[in-house]
Amino acid sequence: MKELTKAEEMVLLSVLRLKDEAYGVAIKKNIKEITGKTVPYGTLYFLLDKLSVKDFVHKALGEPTAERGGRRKTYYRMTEGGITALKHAFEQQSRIWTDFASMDLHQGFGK
Amino acid sequence: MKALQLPIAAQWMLSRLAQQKNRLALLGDLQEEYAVDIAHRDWLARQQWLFSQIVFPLISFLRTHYLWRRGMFSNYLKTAWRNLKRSPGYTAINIIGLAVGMAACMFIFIWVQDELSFDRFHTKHERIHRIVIHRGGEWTASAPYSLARTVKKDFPDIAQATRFTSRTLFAKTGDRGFNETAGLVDPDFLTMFSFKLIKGDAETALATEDAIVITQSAALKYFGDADPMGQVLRINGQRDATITGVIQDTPKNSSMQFDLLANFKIVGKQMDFSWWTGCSSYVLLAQNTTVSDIISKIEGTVVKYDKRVETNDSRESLQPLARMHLYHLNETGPILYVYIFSAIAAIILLIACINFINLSTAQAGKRAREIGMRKTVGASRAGIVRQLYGETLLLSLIAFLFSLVMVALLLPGFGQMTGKTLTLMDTGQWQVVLGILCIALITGLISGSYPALLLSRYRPIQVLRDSASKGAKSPALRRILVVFQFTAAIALIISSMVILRQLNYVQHKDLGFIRENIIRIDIPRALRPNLQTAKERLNQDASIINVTSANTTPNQIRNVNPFYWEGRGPNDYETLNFTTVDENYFQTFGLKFTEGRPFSAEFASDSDRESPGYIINEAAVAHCDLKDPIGKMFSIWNREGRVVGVVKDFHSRSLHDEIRPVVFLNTENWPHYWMFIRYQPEMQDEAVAHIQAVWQEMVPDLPCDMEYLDEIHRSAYANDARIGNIFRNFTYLAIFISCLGLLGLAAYLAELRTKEIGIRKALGASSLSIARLMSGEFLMLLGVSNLLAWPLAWWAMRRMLSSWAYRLPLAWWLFAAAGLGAVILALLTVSWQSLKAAHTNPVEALKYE
Repeated sequence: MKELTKAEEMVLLSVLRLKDEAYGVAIKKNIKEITGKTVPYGTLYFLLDKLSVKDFVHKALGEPTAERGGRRKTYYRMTEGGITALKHAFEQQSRIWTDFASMDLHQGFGK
Repeated sequence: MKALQLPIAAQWMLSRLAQQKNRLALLGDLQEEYAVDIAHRDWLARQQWLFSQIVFPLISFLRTHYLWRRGMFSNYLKTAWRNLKRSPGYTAINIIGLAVGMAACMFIFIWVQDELSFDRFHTKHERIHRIVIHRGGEWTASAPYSLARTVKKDFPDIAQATRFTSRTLFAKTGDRGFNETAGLVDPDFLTMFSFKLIKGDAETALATEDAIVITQSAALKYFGDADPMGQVLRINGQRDATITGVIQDTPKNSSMQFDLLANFKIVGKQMDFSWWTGCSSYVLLAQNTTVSDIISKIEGTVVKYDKRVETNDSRESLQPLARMHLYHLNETGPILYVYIFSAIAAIILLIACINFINLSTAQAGKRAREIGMRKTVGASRAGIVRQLYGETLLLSLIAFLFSLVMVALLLPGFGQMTGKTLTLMDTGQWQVVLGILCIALITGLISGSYPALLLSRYRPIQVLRDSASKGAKSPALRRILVVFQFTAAIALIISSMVILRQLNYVQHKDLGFIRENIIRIDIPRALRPNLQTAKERLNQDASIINVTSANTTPNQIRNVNPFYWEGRGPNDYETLNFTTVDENYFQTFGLKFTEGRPFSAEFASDSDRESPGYIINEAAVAHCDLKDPIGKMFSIWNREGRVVGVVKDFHSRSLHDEIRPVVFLNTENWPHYWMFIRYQPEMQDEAVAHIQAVWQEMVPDLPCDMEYLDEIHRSAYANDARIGNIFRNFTYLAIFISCLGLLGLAAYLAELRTKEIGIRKALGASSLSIARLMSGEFLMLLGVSNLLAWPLAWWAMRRMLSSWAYRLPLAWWLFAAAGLGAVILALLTVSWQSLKAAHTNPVEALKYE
C-alpha cells in the first residue's frame, strides 16, 4: 500500500471535499480556508502530479471560461485507490493519536 | 464585464517559468485568481501579487539552476586541470606553441596598425589631399611653388591650401646653434593639419615672413625652461626669425617630420610656376565636395599658368593624405608589406592552431571514455560541446596571457627591429585591444572545433566497450594538417632566403660608380659664390683625391627637362633625366666613357650657356636612337649644342628602377647643391680634419654636415633591410612552432605504438629499424610538403621580386636547400622520440598500461 505524505493528504482531502469542483484555484482556496496556509500553485501542481502518478486522482478537462483567459479548467476526481488510501491513512492516524488525550504532557520538563 | 487579463509581460514570464506539463492549467488558475480576487484591488496590491507570483519562483529557479551549473562548471574545471596535469608535456607544447603564435601575430598586428595609422591623426585627414602631377611619364609630388596659392584662389571648393617642403636650416641663438629639419609652409598649414599648438595662435602664428614655430623638444634644446615665445632665432646666419608658437613634437606616425615650422617666404622671394623642386602642395577640400569633381576642375592648372613647353603634358590629380605613407605614387609601397606581413601573421597563427588541433585530437582517445561516461549519466551533446570548447578557450586564454607577457617584454626589441618606437600604451587604441582579444577567442574556437565536434559525437556504448583509442582513428586529417603546416613553413623558408639574398645583392651591387670613401656635403647658399675657391682649397691636401660638385647625387638623378636632338625640332621635345656637374665629376666617381671625353676646362664651349656641350649615358644613346653620337646635336631649352661624350651606364636611381636615359651638362644655369669629396682610403681622419679647417675658413657661421655616400646608399635600402629582417625572424618562429607541433605529435604516436614496438623488439627488431619505422611516415609527409611548397614559393617570390628592376634569379638550389633543411630539422625533432621508443626495454613496453 502506497503511503501518503501529510501534504498529499491535505490536497487529497480537498479534492474529496470539493467533489466536482476540484480544480487548481478551488483547491488552493479550500486549503487556505481550512488550514490558513497559502499553497503556491507550483507546490500544488507538484503534489497533484504525484497523486495522479500514484493513481489516487485522475484529470479531466472542463470548458474554457473568460476569467481564465479562454483556458480550460483541469478538474481532479477521486479514484477508488484515493479513497482507500485516505481511509487507510485515517485509521492509521487514529490509532497513532488514540491515547494522546490521556498522556502526561509534562514529563521531564520544567523542573 | 469583460474579465481582466494578466499583463502580457507577466503572462509571458509565467509561461516561461511554468513546467510544460501543467502550463495551461497553471496559467489558467493564475489568470482566474487574478481576475476574480486581485483585479479589483488597488494598484499596489496588484503589483504585490504579481511580484510574488513571478519573482519568487524566478529566484528559486535561478538558484537551483545556478547551483547545478556551478557544480558542473567546477567539475569541468577539475577535469580540465587533471587532464592538463596528466600530460604536462603536451600541455606545455600546446600552450607555448599557441602563445608564441599569438605573440607573433600580435607583433605583426601592432606593426600593421602602426603602418595604417600614419597621418590619420589629422582630424580633417579625409578632406586633405596632396596634389600630384603626372609629368615626363611618371607621377611626382613636386608641384610648382605657386600652385597651392593659385588653386585656392581659382576654386572655391578648395577651402585651404599650403605648400610643404622640408629643408635643413641652421638655427642659432646665443651660443646654441643646431641644424634643424624645417618644414616650410604657408599660413594655412596650422589650421589645416592637426599638429597641436601649445602656445600661440594657429590662425596667425605663421602669417608673417619672419615668424617661426618650434617644437617642444626644440624649444627645450634652445631655451631650456625659459619661455620661447617672442625669442629670436638666427636662420642660416642670414636673417632673424621670431618665435610665434610652440607646437607638439611631430607624432611618429606622421609623414611630415620637422623640428620647426617657418613661413615659406623665409627662404627667399616669391617663386612662380617655373620653380618646382621638391615642394609638395596640400589642399583642404570644402565640405560636401567629391574628390573626382575637384580633380576634373584642377586638371590643367599648370598648363594654363605655365606656358613653357616642357610642362604642357602635365596633368594634376589628388592623393588622399592617409594614402601618402602606404602608397607611393606608382600605387605600390609599404602597403605591399602590410599585406605580406598580414599573410605571414595568418599563416603563423594557422600553424599554431593546427598544432593545437593536432595535439588535441591526438589526446582525444584519452578523453573518449570520460565523454562516454558523461553521456551515460545524462550529459547532453550540447553540454559536452560546451565543455570541450570551454577547455580550449581556457587554454587559449592562458596562452593569450602568456603571449601578452611576451609581447610586453619583447616589444622594445621588436621596435628596434622594425625601426619604430612601439609601446603597448601608444598603440593601445581600442582597435588593437579588441583585435588581440578577438585573436585569442578565434584561436580558442578554431582550436576547439575539431575535438569538441568530433568527441561529442561518439556513441557512449561504443566508446566504453572499445578499448582501442579513438584518437588513432583519424590519421588522414592529421596528415593533411601536418602537410599544410610544413608546406607553409617551407614556403616561408624559401621566401626569406630569396628576400635576404636579394637584399644582400642590392647592398653590395656594383652601381657603376664609386661610392666608397666619398663624403657628401650640402652646399649652403652662402658658399655658392665662392664654390670654385672652396673646391680648390679643399683639393690642397694629400688626403684628398678629388673634389667635385653637382646638382644631384649620382644615384638620385630624378630631375627632368625637355630635350630634343639630331633629327628632331624644338616642338618635338621629350623630357629626360638630367643633372649639372663640374669637370671633375666623372673622374671622382670613376665613371667610364665608351666614346668621347669628359667635360674639361680646356674646352670653353663645354660650359657655354647658349650652346653647351652634352654628355649622355648609353641608355640615352639607345633611347634617342643616335648612331655615332659624338658631335650630334642635342638641346635643352632650345640651347642647341653638341654631344661630347658617352658615359657608361650606371645606376642613376634606386635598384627598384631601370637605368634611364641621363643627360649631363656643365653649365651654371642649375645651381650645384652638393659637393663630393673623395679621399684616400687610409686617410679618412686627415680628410675630415682638412674639410673642417677649410669650412671654418670659408663659412665659419655654418656647421659642416658631412655624410658618407656608401651610408646614404645603405640607408636608401634600410627599410627593405628591416623588412627582410622581420621576415627572417618570423620565419624562425614559424619553423619553431611547426617543430614544436611535430615533437608533440611524434611523442604521441610513439606512445600509441609502445606495445607494437615492444613486440617488434622482443621478436628481434633492431633499434635502427624501429627508428626508421617511426620516422618513415613523417619523411613521406615532408616530401609532399616540399612538392606543394616549391611552386607556391616560386609564384610568391616571382611577384615579390618584380618590384626590383635588378634582381637575382630564383635559383633551384634555394628550393632544394630549404626543403632539405626542413627535412633534417623535422628528422632531428622526430628522431629524439623515435630513438627513445626504440631504446626502451621491451619488458617495460609490454608491461605498459
